[in-house]
Amino acid sequence: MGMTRRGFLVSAGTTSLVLPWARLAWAQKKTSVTIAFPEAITSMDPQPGSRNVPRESFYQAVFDRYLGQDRQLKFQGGIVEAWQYTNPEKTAMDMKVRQGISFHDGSALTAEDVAFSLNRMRTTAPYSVVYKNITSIEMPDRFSLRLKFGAYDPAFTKWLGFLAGFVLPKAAFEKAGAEEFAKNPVGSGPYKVVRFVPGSLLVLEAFDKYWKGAPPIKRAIFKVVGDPTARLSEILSGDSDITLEVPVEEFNRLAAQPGLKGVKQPVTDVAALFVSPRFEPFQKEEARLAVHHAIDKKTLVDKVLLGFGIPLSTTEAPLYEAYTDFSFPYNPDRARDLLGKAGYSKSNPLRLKAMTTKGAKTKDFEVMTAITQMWKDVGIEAELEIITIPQFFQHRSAKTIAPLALYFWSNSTGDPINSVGHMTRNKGPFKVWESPDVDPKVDPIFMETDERKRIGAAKEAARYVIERGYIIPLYQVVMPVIMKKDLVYEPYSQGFVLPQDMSWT
Amino acid sequence: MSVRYLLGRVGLALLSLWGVTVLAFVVLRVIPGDPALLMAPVGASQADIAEIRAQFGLSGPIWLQYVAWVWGTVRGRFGKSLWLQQDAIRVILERLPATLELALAALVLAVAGGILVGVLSVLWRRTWFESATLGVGTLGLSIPNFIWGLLFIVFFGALLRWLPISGRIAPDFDMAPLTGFLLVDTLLRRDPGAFASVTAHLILPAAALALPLLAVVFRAVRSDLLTAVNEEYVVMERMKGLGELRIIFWRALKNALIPTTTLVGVQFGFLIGGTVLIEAIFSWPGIGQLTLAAFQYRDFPLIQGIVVVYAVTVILTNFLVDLGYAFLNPKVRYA
Repeated sequence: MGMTRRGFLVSAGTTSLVLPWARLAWAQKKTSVTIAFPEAITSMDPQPGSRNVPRESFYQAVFDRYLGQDRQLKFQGGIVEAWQYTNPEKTAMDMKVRQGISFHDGSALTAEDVAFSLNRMRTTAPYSVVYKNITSIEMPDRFSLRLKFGAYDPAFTKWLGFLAGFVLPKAAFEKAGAEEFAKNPVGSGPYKVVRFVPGSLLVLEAFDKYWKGAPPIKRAIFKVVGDPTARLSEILSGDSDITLEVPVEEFNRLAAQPGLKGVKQPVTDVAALFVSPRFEPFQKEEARLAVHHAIDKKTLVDKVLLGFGIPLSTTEAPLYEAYTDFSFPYNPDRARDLLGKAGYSKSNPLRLKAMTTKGAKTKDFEVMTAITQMWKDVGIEAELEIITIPQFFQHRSAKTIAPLALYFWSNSTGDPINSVGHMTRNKGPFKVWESPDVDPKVDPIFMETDERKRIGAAKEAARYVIERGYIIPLYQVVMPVIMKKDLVYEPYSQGFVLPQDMSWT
Repeated sequence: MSVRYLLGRVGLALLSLWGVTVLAFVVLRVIPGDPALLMAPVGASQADIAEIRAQFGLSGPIWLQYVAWVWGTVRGRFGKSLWLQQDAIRVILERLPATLELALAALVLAVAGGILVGVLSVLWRRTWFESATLGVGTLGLSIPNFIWGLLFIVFFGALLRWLPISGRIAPDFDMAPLTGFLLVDTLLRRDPGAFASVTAHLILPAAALALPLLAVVFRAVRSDLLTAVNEEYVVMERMKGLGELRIIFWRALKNALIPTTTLVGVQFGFLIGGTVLIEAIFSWPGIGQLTLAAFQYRDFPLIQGIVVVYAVTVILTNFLVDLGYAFLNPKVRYA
């Protein structure tokens, strides 16, 4: 008894002909768009739970924010169409809620819904940290609100258009309860939820009565595809229409495929080396500045990141309110001079440890490996220690962080409070460098009520901390986006992927 | 089967479960990564972080936290997920059918495929088929299942475009879950299109998960069969004029399957563990994917709940295998 090669091949060939029928079941039409998204959400309740900015895409398709934010990070009216502080101390604010907006269940959106959403945030972790500053909310009429704050917070209005800042329908939420609402949410956004499979799938249908007009694509599907190879295959097989965060080495090949195009989108993430004051040699400014002068950021971006980065000399990325075109030069000779003044040379190198993640962000470890080579050329011997992002937080909090540590700081609000402010303020828990000269420079960003003066102070502070070597910015992250050629979409610098802004040619 | 044997097994299972809970609890608190620090948004003060810690029961002595957690767990309250802020056990149980469906499909593929290939390689020994199966068996054992997964995604998903590579069912099918096992749900709803879609989505992840176990089963079956076909009772059957096919399927295979049963029971634990990476690669919305996210957020209640559910599944399987083995093998039953 035996099986011939021919028999085996015939069976295999027959199988290959029969199997493709299954593909027909999931073929998509041009009235829909499928997004292969790298991150998962497991609840459609947009307020609780910590999250990152790209993950907001799911919620932004279904809910409206108090304030909107454009691609240039500018905030404008959303559900709240007008807002203004009503006292010089900026501890009271009047808000006007836009009229004529409906939730997906047909009920009208009023100030009561906005007040309910704000009130819920005051006690909902973790963003209660921001919203508990609201001490009272009054409703003078059906579309007006009067807020009072414990203290002036210049970033508050930015939070109205930032993480978790969404308006929920009071009646529908209370009727369903939090757990049920998280599965079958009702929003006022451009899409209604058809089906939500936590961690896997979100199927949306255009909301015809959306106040900004119904989105051009009637059906949108978020498919969670966590693995980069799988995302690449999703787009190559045609199962998905758009994806992001594909391996950068594959970007050019993918973008050149017939029917596909690629976009290199700069996003609001800044890669920076945090400098520890507990490393004795870093008490000398010369040593800190030498470390910075020895890094050739252009080469890093061109050769290691393959163009998926923009060299940066400040904590503020372009589009941030306190961005300036200040440049900190790559100058290995200057680095050697400074090291010499600090007492180090190639024969007596400055030896240090540097912490880095590996694979948490595109080419993070490779970037740090290249930097250690650059340092070696000037007399700095660095040993890399691989950590995870939670470990970075832990070491930062416990003050056990290495002399240098790579971290990607994200600030899609563009407000300097959320970049140079929290990155360096000694009073806060997010800094690494500590010295008494920092807070006098940074405090005005948190306290100044004159916005023009506040931003001016932030620009100065951002330059100051770099010139003193307290932090070493490396580059702004550029996100690879691959989509079908006939899909019209301009990606966001915040990293959102919003189907409501897409259309087919 | 004696009551003493049964009680002994139950006691051992409970002891293992207790050990797993202690281990999970201690290890989670020893590894760096304070969940409160991860949750704290930009702008949080040290006091805010301490408040988050207290709110989620992360402050106080570890032993006290452990006692509180065990007390809650025995009453079916695993705590609230820090990341999702939902009842941890509900989140886990919602995802459990997806993982079990994948693992069971892989188990069926591995056992059926392993036995079939094992039998055929003995039937067609000393042919090219035997050499090919031995080669493939070695490959199946030496390549981890997530690598198989990636290869399948590229080959069957991107190049040949035969099969879907993410999720459990095509987005077109709007179907509220009945049991959570989509193969069963689609059959209950008598929806052949949805059933085909679920089957198509299941093939690649289940095959990737199954391949290493299939290779193990194949080698075990083959080895046991090769021994069995030379046993005196088989030679006797042959002399009686029974065909080779009948001898193998009705006589030799029966005995060869006893050690394979134990092997499959032990390997099921590895299979369940393997779902973590396979689910991540194929975006399969089960517990495996949830595990990775829970670790990312240092979501202690969720991780602890997942560990308990995994442990219960594996311990229960081993317990059933022990019972099954005792049932099949009188030597064990009366020992």
